[in-house]
Amino acid sequence: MTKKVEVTDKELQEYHQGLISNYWDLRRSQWWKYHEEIANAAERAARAGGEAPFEFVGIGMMGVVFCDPHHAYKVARGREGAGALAQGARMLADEAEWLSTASQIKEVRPHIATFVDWNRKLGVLTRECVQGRPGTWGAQDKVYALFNKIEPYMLAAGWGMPELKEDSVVFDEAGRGKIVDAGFANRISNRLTAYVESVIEGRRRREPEDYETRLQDLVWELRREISENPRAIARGKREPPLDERRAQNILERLYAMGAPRA
Amino acid sequence: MKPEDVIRELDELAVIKRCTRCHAEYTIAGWKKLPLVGYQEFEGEPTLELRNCGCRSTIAIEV
Repeated sequence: MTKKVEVTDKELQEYHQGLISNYWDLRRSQWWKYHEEIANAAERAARAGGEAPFEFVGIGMMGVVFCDPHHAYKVARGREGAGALAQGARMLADEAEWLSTASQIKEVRPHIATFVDWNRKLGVLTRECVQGRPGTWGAQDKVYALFNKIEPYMLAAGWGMPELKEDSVVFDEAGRGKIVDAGFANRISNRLTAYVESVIEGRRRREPEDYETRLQDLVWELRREISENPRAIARGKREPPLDERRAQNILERLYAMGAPRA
Repeated sequence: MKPEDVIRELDELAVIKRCTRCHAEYTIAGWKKLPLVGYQEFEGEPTLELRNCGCRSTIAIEV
């Protein structure tokens, strides 16, 4: 039987203050209702190599974001070992991969928070901490322009763009914007085919390890790509042409593994 | 131009769907050009028509 340890509110507060430097701002904010989850996320950020106390930056659908003097840490929401974390971490893993690719493209790198590390076990994405102000609806034109500037390079690298949100971009004092939130980007063309192939061959798992890959999701993505890739190219998008024969071949393998055809 | 023609023209120009992912806007004509994914029916609820946006997101309108 587990021994129950009583912790006073005061002790708990002192502990959280050691983890989060702007703890009192958090205490007064709308995010206070998530304080236990935020404290748990800060502990994971520290275990992933972050230096506590962290500045709490914000909490979104996928993750809790902190900064230390060196980097930013986006920690997948949910508790470790729980299904919710698995789902959040899978999406964060895709974001990490998008940022990693983007960081390697010289035309894109200055316009994004540079990728540092992805800790799949803890569900922690480490990236550059961008100082400045997140965009608001007033920055819509600038955000569109930034996305349009980057898109051709990312498409050529086999990535769609992330969800377009004004507050996904942080602007410095000179008005230069950097994308900090790269969620919901799709793999496209042959990058997607290679990804699906590596998943079904067991060379790579959909992250994290406890997340069960649904074959019909992979079928959905491939079928969408077979239909969308030629359309996008016809519209003038700079996407690499999909090797359709290879994609169809992988689709057949997925059906043979039991994925539904409809 | 007759009032009904003006109304029809305005209807044709009206944005009926905005993609929440890439913010692309679609008029009726634009919507119909998107690849159809299918229909989703729910008991007692309006049927949804699903189509793929150019950004690969699947978006829906009530029909």
